[in-house]
Amino acid sequence: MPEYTLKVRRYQPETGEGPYWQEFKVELDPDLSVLDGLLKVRDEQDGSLVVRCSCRAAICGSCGTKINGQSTLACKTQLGDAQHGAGRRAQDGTAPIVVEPMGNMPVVKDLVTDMESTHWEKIRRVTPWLLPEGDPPEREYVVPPESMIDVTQSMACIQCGACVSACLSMEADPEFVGPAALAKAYRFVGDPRDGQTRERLYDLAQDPHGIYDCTHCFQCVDACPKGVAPMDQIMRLRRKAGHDQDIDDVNNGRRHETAFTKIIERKGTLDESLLLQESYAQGFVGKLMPTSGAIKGLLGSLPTAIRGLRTGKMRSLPKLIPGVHHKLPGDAQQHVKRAYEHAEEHREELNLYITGEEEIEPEADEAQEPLASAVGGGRQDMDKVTEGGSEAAGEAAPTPEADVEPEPDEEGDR
Amino acid sequence: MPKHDVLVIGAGLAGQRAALAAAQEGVAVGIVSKVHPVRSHSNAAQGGINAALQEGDSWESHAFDTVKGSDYLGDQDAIEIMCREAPDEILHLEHLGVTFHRNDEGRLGTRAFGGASQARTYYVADITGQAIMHVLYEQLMKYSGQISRYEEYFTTRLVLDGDGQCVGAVLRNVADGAMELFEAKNVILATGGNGQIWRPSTNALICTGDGIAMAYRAGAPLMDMEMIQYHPTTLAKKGFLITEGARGEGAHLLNAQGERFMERYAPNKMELASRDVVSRAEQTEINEGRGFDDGTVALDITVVPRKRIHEALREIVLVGRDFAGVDITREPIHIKPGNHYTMGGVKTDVHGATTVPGLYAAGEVACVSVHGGNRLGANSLLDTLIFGRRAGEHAAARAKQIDAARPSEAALRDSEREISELIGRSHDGGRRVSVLRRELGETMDRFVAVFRDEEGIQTALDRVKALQEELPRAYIDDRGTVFNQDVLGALELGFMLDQAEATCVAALHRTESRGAQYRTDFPERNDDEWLKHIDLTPSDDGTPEVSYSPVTG
Amino acid sequence: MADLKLAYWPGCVSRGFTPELHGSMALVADRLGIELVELDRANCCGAGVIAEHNTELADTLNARTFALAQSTGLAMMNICSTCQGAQSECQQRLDADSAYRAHINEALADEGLEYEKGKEGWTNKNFLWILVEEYGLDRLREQVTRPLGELRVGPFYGCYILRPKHRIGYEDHPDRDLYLERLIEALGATPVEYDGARKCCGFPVITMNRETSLRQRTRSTRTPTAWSRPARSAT
Ligand SMILES: Cc1cc2nc3c(=O)[nH]c(=O)nc-3n(C[C@H](O)[C@H](O)[C@H](O)COP(=O)(O)OP(=O)(O)OC[C@H]3O[C@@H](n4cnc5c(N)ncnc54)[C@H](O)[C@@H]3O)c2cc1C
Ligand code: SF4
Ligand code: SF4
Ligand code: FES
Repeated sequence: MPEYTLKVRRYQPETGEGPYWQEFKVELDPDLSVLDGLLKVRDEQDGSLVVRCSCRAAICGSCGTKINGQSTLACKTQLGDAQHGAGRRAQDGTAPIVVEPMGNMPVVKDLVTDMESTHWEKIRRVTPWLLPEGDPPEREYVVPPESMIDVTQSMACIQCGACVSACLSMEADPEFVGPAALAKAYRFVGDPRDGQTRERLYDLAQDPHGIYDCTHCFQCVDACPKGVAPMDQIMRLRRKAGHDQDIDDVNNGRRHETAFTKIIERKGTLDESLLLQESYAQGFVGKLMPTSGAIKGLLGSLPTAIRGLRTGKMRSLPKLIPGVHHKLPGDAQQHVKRAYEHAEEHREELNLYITGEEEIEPEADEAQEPLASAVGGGRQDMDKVTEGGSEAAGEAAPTPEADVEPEPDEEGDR
Repeated sequence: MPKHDVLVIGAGLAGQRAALAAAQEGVAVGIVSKVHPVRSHSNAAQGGINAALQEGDSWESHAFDTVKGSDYLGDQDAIEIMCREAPDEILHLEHLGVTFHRNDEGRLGTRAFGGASQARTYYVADITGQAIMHVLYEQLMKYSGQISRYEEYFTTRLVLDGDGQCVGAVLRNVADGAMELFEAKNVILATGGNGQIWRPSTNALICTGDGIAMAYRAGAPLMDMEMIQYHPTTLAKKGFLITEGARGEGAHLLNAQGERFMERYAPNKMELASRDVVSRAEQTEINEGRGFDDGTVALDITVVPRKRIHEALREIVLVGRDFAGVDITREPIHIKPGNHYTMGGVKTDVHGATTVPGLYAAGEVACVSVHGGNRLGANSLLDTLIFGRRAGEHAAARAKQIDAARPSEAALRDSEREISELIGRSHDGGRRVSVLRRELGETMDRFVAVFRDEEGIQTALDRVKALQEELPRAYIDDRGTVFNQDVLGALELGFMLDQAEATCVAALHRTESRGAQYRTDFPERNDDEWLKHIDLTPSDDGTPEVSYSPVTG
Repeated sequence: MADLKLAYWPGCVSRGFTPELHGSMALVADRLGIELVELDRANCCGAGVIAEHNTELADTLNARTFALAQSTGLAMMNICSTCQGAQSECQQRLDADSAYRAHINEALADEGLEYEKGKEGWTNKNFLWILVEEYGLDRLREQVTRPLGELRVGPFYGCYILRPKHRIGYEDHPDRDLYLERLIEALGATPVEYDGARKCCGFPVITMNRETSLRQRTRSTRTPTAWSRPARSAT
């Protein structure tokens, strides 16, 4: 059995001393978890080492910690992998596994943090219970089956706080409502049984620390052990607020997004000078009157732009003037427009949580079938366009290229 | 001193449901949990919850399956109540916001489960327990005006008054170690099961059966303690559960020779026979050398369509990947029977009332008994909710009729003394508490598991008694007050040893095979003599005293 | 010896606020013999902002860029962390479902374009990844004429090229979050370890919450550990 060194950031409040590092050695199989390692230390070496834990199986959400700097669950991180992660950056590959309490939260003792003030308070901030309109039906609410799968993604949240620990906006703005609470908010906004969709979205759009305070850093997506992808839920909230409900937010988020989208429609690529101006004050070019917030924002960002000029970051003054910008050649811009028309007409939102991802390899129960019949019907004809743009004949089997494997039958997948 | 009309101890499904039901009746409720409520073990329930709600199904059919599954040890009056009230409870949960799986018409959809004559299991992917519990917790937050939450408070003992009524409990605030006396007109125990007495177990580390032991110490009888369920599909090393939902979706069990061995044991129901039957079949295969080298057989989920796995068994794909390194969509996974559930517990009536006035119990801590000798899959969540609600309602009604009693401080002083003695104990006199805990687990898993006999059970009982004697000398390391988990571990071990003793005594006493109790020295079911429950109460010298109660028809 | 020939998407920013991005890359590519075919008809990646508005639109726009690249028969290269992330996100959706892909391709048909999943030899990689994975650091080291000996350089990656790991190829290339350090070393300089190397620059919220944004900027560049001498940040 290999031996692992766990370097634990400890804090024992009653000693009156600050946090310190302590190394423990444990012998365990590599497929056991860092939590198993900590519990072995607790059982055999030092019973005063504390870590919240219960299920050992990534279900209860107790054991959020940082392992080698990454916010995660101790019970879901295998020792072998953690050792690999620790050794990766060390020159000789023998660095200890570093275990710390979660970030963005006060530490109570050793690996135990105060989640009440940093996590639960924010969960309560989003009115976390269903508010249906009127009395319930006699039987169940009849709702689209996909909608229940959709919100089950946020329902899968075990409130472990790993995302909160990792969140970079939270680090800069402790008042940010945060990834877990906003994912929880989506659980109601996306639930067709809830009757307060607009009120919820309005509330979160009008909070300067709400849905438009997320910096899109993906930390929460990587940290989450349950595939909740909080950032994706936040982006859904933004789409629903800005587009579906037509809600303008205090942070100018929607203006920024609309301005951006419009510029690309007109120009194909981003004209940053136009963006700065448009996202603060569409009124300057468009027909709307700029809000006072917008004007303040624009003025506030001028120093950035001017500094950009002075340091040579922006090539020339014309860069600040809208309209002097790269143009797509020929009819390319028309085709971009065409893409816009098509996409704005349909607004299809492919939800990978519902559909799952198409497999490259054949399904087990199809593996035995001959290649040609496995890919016979269905939509493959549309996918197997041969190079050079000439269409392969309708029902023909694809060229047997080594890496083009048959698509699985995904009828009814969506 | 915090005062409540109803104090609920435990915040899993049973506790939260009880608290909400009591608050609905307008009384002042407190709910206590030694971990944050959403960490409670109910969140581990993957498979689902039963109810005869589908057209063509009936509560009678559900009840019949339950009685049969219980090997006729279940009390039929209680089973009737549970099955009759199940459909409304499911609808209630749906209305509160549980994201139950829908069929194509957008209505509630079901899956098949073992021992059931109909597909009547409602589910949320394979996070059913978690989904329901988080929705109930949403309601707790909503009603925080009526329900005070004491999160991370550990209950050390119940408090009785001079008349033998339960009037409160002693609690330790885990965050700072402060001990407090809580006054209550009624106490509802909802502290869950005791799987940690066995090692390995599918149960979480917190499942130490504290409430079973506390009630027993307070004089409430325990019932059916010999009935310990071994689940057929657990991972060899850590004991994690692969939900029965997998078999419900069509997965096969194979021995090392690739045979679908259930053909020999239950040719009709195959993999969906009752859990005791499937576990024994697997153990027989393993014992007779047809298992794999690691003492397992295989569960083959690859026969379930990939899309269906993605939709309905997402969680166990993760369990397979993260904890066994197996992609269950591509290869079979090794499993074996493992400790899972305690059918027994604190004896209650159909309102959750124990024989101690003012003391209720609901959920896995209790024994109504709806599960008898064997619990059907997806009947436990139902048990927690139905009897949690009933206990909450009944306790609230009782609270309205009685005056507040004043618990004496003596119990508090006793607990404080006990803990300070423990913290001050020297390291020379004995072994570490954690060492004793491990020994208990391994002993019970070896001798009081799928197959039992007198010699083995007696061996276990002797060791348990030896550990009980050793416990007052066993030591801990942490001498602090803040988040001292060492202290809690020692208290839990004390609780577990009492229950282990009760289980051994009952298992030894029942000289027949029924449900989860299979005696190799008494392999037959003996209805003439044993169609009755074994009740246990502490005698004066502390050992369990046996009496019987009839199975109600 | 132009053994690497790639379809090149310069991105919007290199044509605007950060022209040095394109300029320096072009000089280096030329020295290394990497031949680039600029996709001048291609469009903005949406930077995650368009996806916030309408995911189908973001997917369509990037499918168009991918299809333009695929029509050259070459693999594709970008030089911007954000392009890499935003494009990978869309590619994940496009590759996940053939019906969806067909639907998106409808919008491109007029232009005679089609995005093909898993097209042989087609990938979309950032210049950094190209340098490490395709060109090779050993070969790069040989090209160094004046090692950057004294220079201490703090790497700064940008969120989109680091996360989420499952989407941007960390399964096959687990060390992508160490490439800058390795590159800095290969050039003879010393990488500086500091807390902010893999944090956020704050830009995505600059127009929404200035304070949050700027505080992130400071946190990313401030260093409790290792800036003892002046250092430059490398993107
Ligand atoms: C892996 C697994 C899967 C399962 N799947 C299913 C399924 O699919 N369907 C089904 O019907 N059943 C299933 N079960 C069984 C079911 O989950 C449990 O029986 C049920 O959830 C028990 O709920 P409970 O409310 O009684 O207790 P728990 O949820 O265990 O809650 C106990 C509570 O008591 C508290 N507590 C305990 N001791 C103390 C103390 N000393 N002081 C203060 N608080 C204390 C705890 O903190 C916790 O809040 C499964 C069980 C397991 C282990
Ligand atoms: S993406 Fe947004 S919510 Fe998620 S960690 Fe980053 S800033 Fe926080
Ligand atoms: S979203 Fe994920 S990381 Fe965040 S609290 Fe929930 S489960 Fe944990
Ligand atoms: S112990 Fe439950 S999530 Fe880790």
